[in-house]
Amino acid sequence: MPDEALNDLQPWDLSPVVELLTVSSEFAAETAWTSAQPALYERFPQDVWTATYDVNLYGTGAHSNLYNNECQQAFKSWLEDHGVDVEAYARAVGPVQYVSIQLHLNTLLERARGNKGWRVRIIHFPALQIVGCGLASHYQGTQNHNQMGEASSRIRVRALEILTGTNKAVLEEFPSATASDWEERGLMEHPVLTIGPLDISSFDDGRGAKLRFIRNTTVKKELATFFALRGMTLRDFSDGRGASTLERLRDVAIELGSPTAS
Amino acid sequence: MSNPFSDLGTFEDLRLAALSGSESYERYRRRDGAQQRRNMANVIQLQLASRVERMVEVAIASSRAVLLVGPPGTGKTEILEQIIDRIDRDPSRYGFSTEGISSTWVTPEEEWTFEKVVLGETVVDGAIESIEGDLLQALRHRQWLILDETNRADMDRVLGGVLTWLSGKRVRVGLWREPGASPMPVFLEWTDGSAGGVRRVAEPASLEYVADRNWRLLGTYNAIDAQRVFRMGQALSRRFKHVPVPPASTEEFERIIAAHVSEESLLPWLTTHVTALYRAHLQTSDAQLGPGLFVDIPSYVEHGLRMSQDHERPQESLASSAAIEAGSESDLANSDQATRGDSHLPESASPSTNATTDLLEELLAEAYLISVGNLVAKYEMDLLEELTKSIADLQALSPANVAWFVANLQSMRA
Repeated sequence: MPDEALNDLQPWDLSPVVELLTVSSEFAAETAWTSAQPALYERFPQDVWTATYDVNLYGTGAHSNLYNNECQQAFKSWLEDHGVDVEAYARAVGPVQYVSIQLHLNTLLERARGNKGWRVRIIHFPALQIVGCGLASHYQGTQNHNQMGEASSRIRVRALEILTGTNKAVLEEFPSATASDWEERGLMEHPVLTIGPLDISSFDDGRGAKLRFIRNTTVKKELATFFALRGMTLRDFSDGRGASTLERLRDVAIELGSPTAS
Repeated sequence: MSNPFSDLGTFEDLRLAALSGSESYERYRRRDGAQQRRNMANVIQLQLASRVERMVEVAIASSRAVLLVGPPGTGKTEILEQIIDRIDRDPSRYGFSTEGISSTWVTPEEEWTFEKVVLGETVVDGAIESIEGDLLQALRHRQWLILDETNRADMDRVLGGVLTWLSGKRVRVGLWREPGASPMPVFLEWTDGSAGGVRRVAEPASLEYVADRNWRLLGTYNAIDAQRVFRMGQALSRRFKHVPVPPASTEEFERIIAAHVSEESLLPWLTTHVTALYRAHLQTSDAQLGPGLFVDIPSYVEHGLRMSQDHERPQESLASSAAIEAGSESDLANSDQATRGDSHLPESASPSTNATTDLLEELLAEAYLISVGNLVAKYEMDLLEELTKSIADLQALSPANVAWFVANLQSMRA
């Protein structure tokens, strides 16, 4: 059995990664990254992969926009009925919109950090404690999220033509991103009944939060670039599902990035 | 590159095509598919040619005279061109001591004679003067002489006078005449050194054309080009090393021809039928042809089909307009496609209707006729019958189109 396969049999402690995903500031992220990076390289060896991260903070006026526009009338009314004003909602949502980790194949790294190529990507929305894992390309400023979503669907179909065996079966479990993911509850396997500390279990008969309640327009584009995406709770991610998901995505990415695959 | 995910550039091509809408993406997919098939065909052709190329390289490195022998369309000339170019870039690797390789290519013709190729005469101001033929000129300029399609001329007659020289011996080929001088004998000879060219010997007066160790006589030869072939006699033939260039197998051909089909919807039909035509030739002794003669057939059929549909388009547009008024969504989509004048064949191009199939079969027969008809027209009647029976048995052409093909050969014989 190859060393890597043996390594995969050992438990993979993702707690440093979870720590990074749950930071509340860029400064905290810098500190957390020093532990998260070696944890990632345990299963994504540095001679094959390069890991990077981003912390996306809500900008000025972003919380107000969420409260007044993205929350839609029904949820806004619920918030108002429960005495949650813009400031209180901003405190509940918190300062960090998302934390993202990218794992690039070194063979595709040269210009891949920003606007080239594709990568394994983890994206966490702290306000909902939802983690999306998958394979993503990138977007450029003027590109529309709906068009990008259609493109991701086509890219996924092409990827399925390349992959074989187990890796193909794995990708079949990861649909490409759709409006349901960036507008509704596509990333949530179960209702998310809290936004930060705010209990919203009485909203909409317990159907829980929608992603749009806590995300701005950029996130729509970010998510639309995922040509393979599955959501899970942060708890599931840290309880082992994150590790197994990332290992499976790693294997898919290695086959997909191989010049001999066709 | 068959896997767009393994390279940033090709992935970006995929991403941008995927972003640009379904029609653009479908065009990208067709191009990508055609490119993949072309890549596969190139690999097959390289695999096919690699051993042949090695034989040609070694034969040229080790022998004074080499012929590539095979049916038409097997790429003999291209192989020879590539290998001479390769040797030119690194002569020492092949044991040559020149800085590069200079060559002169000539295509023999039926009326060729010894005088045209070796030593001829002409009359200037009433006096007889000698003129160098292609061989002597090549030796003078220390250029390799390449005879492309040697079967076009009676090489026994043309080179009969230099047979002895070709086997490595000195030979007298005639007299050199020029105004104001006595005629002097002309000799051909070889040297193991590298001092080839022409030298005028004073005593006794003579001209010596010397082929040095770096000089070569090369050629291609279609042994099966019936009727027009001047079969090379044994005496001349054994002076050359013969490297066979066989036609591709039908399996290899199937992948080669797939690379030449642009329309995905026509891929199965064209591949099957053109391969069947190729197979018919391959399995008919003396009718074998190489893939090169068949590769333009798909393009003819695709163009023919597209032009036929363009003629019908005005009626389609009227029908679509009516559909738009009726508010049919799917017809709106069709109308949209028609209005944009999309350059690829629509779904209806796939051979799903009798009318389309009839048209495709006619176009195929036409493409086959214009691609190989000039060769087939020269077949003996029994060979033609054997071939057309094979074509019919393999259902490469419909019986009506076989008959049409044969009838049209008559005018090609004229």
